[in-house]
This record gives sequence, structure tokens and C-alpha cells, in this order.
Amino acid sequence: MKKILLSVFLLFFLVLIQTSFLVHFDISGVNLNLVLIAVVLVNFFERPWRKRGLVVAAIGGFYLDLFSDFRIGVSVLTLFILALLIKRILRSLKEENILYFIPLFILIFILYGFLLILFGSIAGLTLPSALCFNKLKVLELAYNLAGGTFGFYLVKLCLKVLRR
Amino acid sequence: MRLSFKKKILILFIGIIIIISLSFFQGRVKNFSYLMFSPLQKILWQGGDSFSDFWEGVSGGRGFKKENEELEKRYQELLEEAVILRELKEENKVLREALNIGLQKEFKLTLADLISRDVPGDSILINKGLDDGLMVGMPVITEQKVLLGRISEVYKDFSRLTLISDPESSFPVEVQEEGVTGIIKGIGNLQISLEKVPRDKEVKEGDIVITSSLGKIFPRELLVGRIEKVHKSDVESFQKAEISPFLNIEELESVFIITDF
Repeated sequence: MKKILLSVFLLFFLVLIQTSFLVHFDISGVNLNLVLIAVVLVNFFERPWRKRGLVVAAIGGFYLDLFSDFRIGVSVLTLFILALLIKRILRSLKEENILYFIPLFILIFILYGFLLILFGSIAGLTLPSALCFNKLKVLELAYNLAGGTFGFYLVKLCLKVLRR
Repeated sequence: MRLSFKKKILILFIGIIIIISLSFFQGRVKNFSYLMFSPLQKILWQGGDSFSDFWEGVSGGRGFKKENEELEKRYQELLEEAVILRELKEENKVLREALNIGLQKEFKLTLADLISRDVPGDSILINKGLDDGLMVGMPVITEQKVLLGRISEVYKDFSRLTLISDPESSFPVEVQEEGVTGIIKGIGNLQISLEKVPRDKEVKEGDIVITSSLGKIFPRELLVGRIEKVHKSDVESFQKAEISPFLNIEELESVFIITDF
């Protein structure tokens, strides 16, 4: 319960940083999606049979919906499905390796775009701009992958310190 | 604590009910949360703005020498231009006074502060809403008459501005120097392109693109961007151009909403 409460505050802090602070550090208009990175990291490092990552995904999705023009529920459902998928994939992986993390992150990032388009259109929304596939999408993926990789090593370092 | 399958289903069901309920009252829910957290977001926005300026200064340090030489050269050129511009400014001032056409006299405006930008998305939250007389479709500009976009969602105290770079956005424009018309289309991530320019018309790099009165979506002569590269093909009846937009939200803290034009 404590960990979930901590994620509620941490994700809230991340979404505020993402929408109000990091906006000034974009590359060709492309920004980091800290909430998506956090959800991928939490689910990647959590044991596949645990369910906390799913709750984190739903909370993160709720914040993203709250601070965007999505209908509430669109990002919740998207991130929840992606968290389930990560857990499903991780069942066949035995270690927390960067070589697994990178392809998994790329897959999740692409699916994130597709699912938002799908659920967004079901909810009667116009397509959010960053979901349209063009050359900037590759830059966005690279930028977020760099952020995710940084997060991967940061979490690994924290886990190492905590396990001592 | 391990939950039974029935309890898990019950929790999931309650979660879905909460999400659906919130979705029905989302206007109020969103307005309430913006009201609660906008002061903190405003501080973060201003902090990000100052920190990015500082960071640009620090990271740009290595190229200072070369940049200095280029700037020196550019300075000489600008000095010449400044003399001409000073004369034009005086003339313009007299004309503006004579014609009574300041920005505020040209349009009915409301000032608003930027709160946050959606990620992903090309929309921005501003701190004026229904109570301030804002409505969907109103154009939003900067102090320098640069077009930012239109109001797409209005809450009680806040509104969402969809930028011209949103892929759903398209509107008629004209190339200032040539008088050629075309359509600006958003391509996402703060980028736009110029399309539907007749092939037989001449447009060149550096030309300024402004809004046209066609379609009556935006007032005339709002600044949109500068042509970067023109793409012309013999097999297509229209030419396209890459545009460097004038909208720069990184440097912005407040905007003007045109409530009447």
C-alpha cells in the first residue's frame, strides 16, 4: 500500500514536470513522456506475477488524461493494457538486461501510439498530433528511448543500493 | 495480503465505474484539478523557461568564438538596416496614430497565461475560460501578432488552445511578398507545412507566410512562419514548402485571445 501511495505522488510530480517544465527542453518540438517511461520501468523491474505495476499504469494513465485533451479513461486503458503486455512478455525473460529493455521499450512506445489512436477514436476524439506517424515520430522514439535507458540504469543503481 | 479472484474482479469493476463516472463529469473534474494545481504548474513553467535560457547559455559556450565573428559581421549589416528601419518606424508610428490601429484597437483581446503543454499533443492549457468569455474557435496570438492556434476546449476557468501545428489544423494563408495563396497544415510537434500552392506561382525561401481572410477562420495578416524549402514537382499540380513557424512556446508566458474580429 505504501508503495502505491508513493507512486501516486511520484507520478503526479512526473506529470507536472512533463507538462510544465520539460516543455522548455524539447528537441524539434518533441518532448519526453516521463509517465510512459515510469510505467515501463516499474513493470519491467517488478516480478511478472506482482500486480502493483498495473495499478501504477492506471494511475499514470489517469494523470495523463487529466492533464491533456483526452477523455478520461483513454490513457488509463492504454497504459493498463501495455502493463499487462509487459508482464506477459517478461514471464519468458529471466534477467533485467538492457538488451531486453531496449526492444521492449520500442515495442511499447509504438503500441502506445496505436492504442491511443484506437481508443481516442472510439472516444470520439480528433487524433492527438504526436500520434501521427512522420519523421518526428522517430526522433520522439529516440528521445524517449534515451530517457528510458537513463531511467533503466538509475533504477538498477537504486536497486543495487537498496539490496545491500 | 492476497486478494481472492472475486475481490480482484470487484476492484476492477469499481475502478471501471469510477473512470466512466469521471469521464462523464470530465469538464468539472479537469477544471477543479487545474484550479488546484495551476499555481504549481505556473511556477514550473517559469522555472523551466529560466532554466532553459541558462542551459542554452552554458551549452552554447564552446561555439562562442566562431559565433562572435559571425555576429560581428551580421552586426555591421544590421546597422545599415537599422538606419532604414528607424526611418520606417517613425513613419509607421505616425501612420498608426493616424489610422488608430494598435493591436488592441485592431481586435478585442483577452490576456491569458500559459500553464502546461500536453504530451503527446500540440495543445496548451491557458488560465482563462468560460467565465472570461472565451469560446471554442477563438484565435490566439502573441504580442507580436504571431498566430498560435485556436481555442479547442473551454472549461469554467481554463481553456485548451490547439496549436496550428496540430495535424488536424489547416487554414488558408498567403505568401506576403508574392501574394500567392496556399494552405498551412499542421504536422505535429510544433511543425507546419505549406501546401496547395499552384505550381505556376513563384515562392522562394525566406518569404513570410501570413493568414488570409479566406475561410474567415483567422483575421488577416497574422504572422505564421517563414518558407525554409520549396518542393516543386513536374508531375504534381501544386507545390509544397517546409515552413519554419514563428510560434515559439518555449519563450512564451502569456498570449492574447482574440474574442472579436
